[in-house]
Amino acid sequence: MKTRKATKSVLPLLLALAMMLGLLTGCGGSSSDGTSDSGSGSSASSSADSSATEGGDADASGDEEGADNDASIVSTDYDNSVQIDSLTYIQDTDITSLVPWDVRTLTPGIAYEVYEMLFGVDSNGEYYPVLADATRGDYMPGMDHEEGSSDYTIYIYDYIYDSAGHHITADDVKFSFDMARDGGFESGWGSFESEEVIDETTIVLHCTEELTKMGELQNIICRTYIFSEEAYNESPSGLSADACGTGPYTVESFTASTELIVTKRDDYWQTNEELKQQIQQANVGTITLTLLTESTQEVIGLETGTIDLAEKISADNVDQLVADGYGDSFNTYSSQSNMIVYAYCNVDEASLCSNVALRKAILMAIDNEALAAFEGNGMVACTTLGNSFFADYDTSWEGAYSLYQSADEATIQSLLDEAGYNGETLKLLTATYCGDYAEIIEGQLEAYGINVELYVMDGGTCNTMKADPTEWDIFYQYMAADDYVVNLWSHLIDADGRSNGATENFIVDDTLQDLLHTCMASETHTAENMDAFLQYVDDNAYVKALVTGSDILLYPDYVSTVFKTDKGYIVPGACCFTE
Amino acid sequence: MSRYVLKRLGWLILTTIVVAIIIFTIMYFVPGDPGRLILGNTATEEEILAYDEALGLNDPFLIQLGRYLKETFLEFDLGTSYVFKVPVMQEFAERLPRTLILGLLCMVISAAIGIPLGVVCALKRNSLVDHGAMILAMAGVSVPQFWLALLMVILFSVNLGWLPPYGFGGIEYWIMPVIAGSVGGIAMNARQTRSAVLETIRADFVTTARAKGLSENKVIYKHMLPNAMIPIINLLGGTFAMAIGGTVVIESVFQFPGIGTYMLTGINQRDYPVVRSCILILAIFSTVAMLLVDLVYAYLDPRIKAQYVNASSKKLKKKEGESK
Repeated sequence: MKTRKATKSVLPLLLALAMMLGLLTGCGGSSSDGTSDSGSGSSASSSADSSATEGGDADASGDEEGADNDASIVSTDYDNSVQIDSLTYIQDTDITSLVPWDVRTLTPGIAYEVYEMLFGVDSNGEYYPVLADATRGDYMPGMDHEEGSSDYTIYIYDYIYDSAGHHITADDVKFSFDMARDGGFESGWGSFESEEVIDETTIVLHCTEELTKMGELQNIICRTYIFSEEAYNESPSGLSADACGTGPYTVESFTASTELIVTKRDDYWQTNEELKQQIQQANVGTITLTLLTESTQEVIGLETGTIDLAEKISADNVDQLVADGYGDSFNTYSSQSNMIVYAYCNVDEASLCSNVALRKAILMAIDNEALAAFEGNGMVACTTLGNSFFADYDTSWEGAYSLYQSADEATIQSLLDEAGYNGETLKLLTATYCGDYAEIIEGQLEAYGINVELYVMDGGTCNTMKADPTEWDIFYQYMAADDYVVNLWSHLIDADGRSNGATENFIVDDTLQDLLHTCMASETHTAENMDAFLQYVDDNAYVKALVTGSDILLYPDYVSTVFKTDKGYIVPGACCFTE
Repeated sequence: MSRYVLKRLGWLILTTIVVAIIIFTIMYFVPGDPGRLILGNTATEEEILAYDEALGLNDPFLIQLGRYLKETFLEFDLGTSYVFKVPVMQEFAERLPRTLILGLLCMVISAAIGIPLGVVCALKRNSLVDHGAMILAMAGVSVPQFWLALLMVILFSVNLGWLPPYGFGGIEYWIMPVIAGSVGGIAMNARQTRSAVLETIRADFVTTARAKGLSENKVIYKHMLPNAMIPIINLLGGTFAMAIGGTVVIESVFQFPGIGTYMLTGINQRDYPVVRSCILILAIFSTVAMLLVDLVYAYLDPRIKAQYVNASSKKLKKKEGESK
């Protein structure tokens, strides 16, 4: 009887203990210590080292014989002789709808398989015509433009047909731009006013001024999918759940946030191989993009063979694959991401941080190396406001500015004294999806006597609070940009186009604006001007880049070359394969 | 009885409208701007304002509420998702059946295994079978669904290669989600049934039934079980109500395109039409479940049926008396 009673009380305790141990072993994806430490593997350098390399993997990092970080995978020497039947891949962006004018939703490379734009742009900033007629135009193939004029004349082929057989004309081009404008997706179109149809294959883009800023023309002609007005009218969902584009693939099935399957078109309109661009190639029969919300499933999918290729996989997951013994099954290529984590202070009078000395002290106190080491997973410390992903990045900026140099306690203390800071509590605001760093930053600041209260909010609440200058003092978050580092700077601290004439952190500074816009104009986009901007930003402690990540591509042996858009997304059908 | 049912249906409609008003009000005051979220950080203030204006989000509260109630209850239009860009009804038509099937399968399996298991445990109380089953039941109740689902994936997909790890399609895609979703329910049903049967097993009418010489099966299934079913029906009713909202974790792990993931995306993106509609559906399901539970009570227990009928008659007599 006593034994039975004792058993009854001890048994539940043992079960609870077993459950706790099970939770600890079963949850998370921490890599085993013996194999690659992703923190060093892919974070050690800004570009090259793969993380799926150490711990017995034959494809060693940086090894010339190894397949990892083999730069030939991103070469532009394409061999389209081999076609494969199918490819399943994953990437880190969700697709919730197929509306072609919402390029924020339809960003992954697979969208380029279904819809096409007037022009494409490569990683060097060179335009190439896609729907634009390469046989016409003097300014560049497919376009006419007179220097000093604010008009851009674009010619399109007269034999473009979408997957439903609709003939694409200049009217459809106009319709596509109008839909984007009506949908509110006209970011970067500040100077773009209207379109005028001249004839079936000619359209003129009217702007308020000549487009001289870096990436300004690109934002218009390389960011708008063209589709048929008739297709839109015929679509039961307004092209939200069904797609009808001019691309080499057509949508076979789409389940929002789950899966998108596209199949090669037999009736693709561009049959002239000399005019066909690499992005228009269709080297895969059926492409399946799987959208996984659960990170563990990425690893499982790769291990079970249900996923062939992973775009932008995390370093932790690569480590997990290696630890599970699948390191030999894949190759990796690591490149700098276009995303940085940045921090800035509230410059509004309502905040104590309107004092430049205090801002400097705060930003200098944040140790980027420590943040990168803490996060691991391929993150590296930023040494300037940008990274090597951007075509106009200059390595001479690295570590050249005071905010990115080692924090000197005496300097920080003297800045705090200069600011008259007496230990007041400052509000640190961020969103939950980047809340990892909050406590680290809090600790770093408190080490210098800067008291901080954390406000880690969901994205919606965070954005709303950020718009109110009384709700925060210090803010940090992710930011990404297109090809040029000046675009990153513009996204961060450009007051242009904002109704209150201030930046998001409430800077009202004409000098800053002048310096920024000087850098952004093509003619004055020089190293000297960009250095002047960075120096001014540093002197005023307006913003600091903290850490940046690596994009790791995981691919099987039979992929010989991947084709990436200028934003770094893979276009699967345009990739090249071996037997 | 029919009067009682009609009265409950009336309450259902009223409850739904009240829930709709409450959820609309809550979403209205929750911080977060859909326009800002959808257009992103690079959008200007003017663009965000224009987008909000186009969505009708700048109108006063009462106007927005009136518009919402009219569209929902008179036009049966649940709106168009800001994120998915398709009418909410259209997504529901695709996703709701999947989630319902998943939820109901889990409920049926939980009941089909849990209830008989509970009965056996009660009848063989303090035996090895009873102890073993209750230990497993305790484990089943304690195990997090998320953890169990991932362990199953590792075992059946990665190690054994028997089943696909995620996705939606043929029957093989349903096996693991259903099992993972049922385990907790089986455990709860087993424990609840055992407890309920143990209460009735000592009742006088059971002793009388045995004394009359009835077979043990008849004693159990005709006399004991109907009386023990009341709390179990209550549990099943709650499970039915959760059939929609309770599968979020399972849908997330197995990339199952159902209402759970739809609602989760809507909440994160401040997609008001989606969140409001999902909660409304949950409210409708809950009230229907409670009504069904009450009706089953009435069927199983004539005393309860009599209470319902008497309550209606009394009120009717009172009204007649007052009118005289």
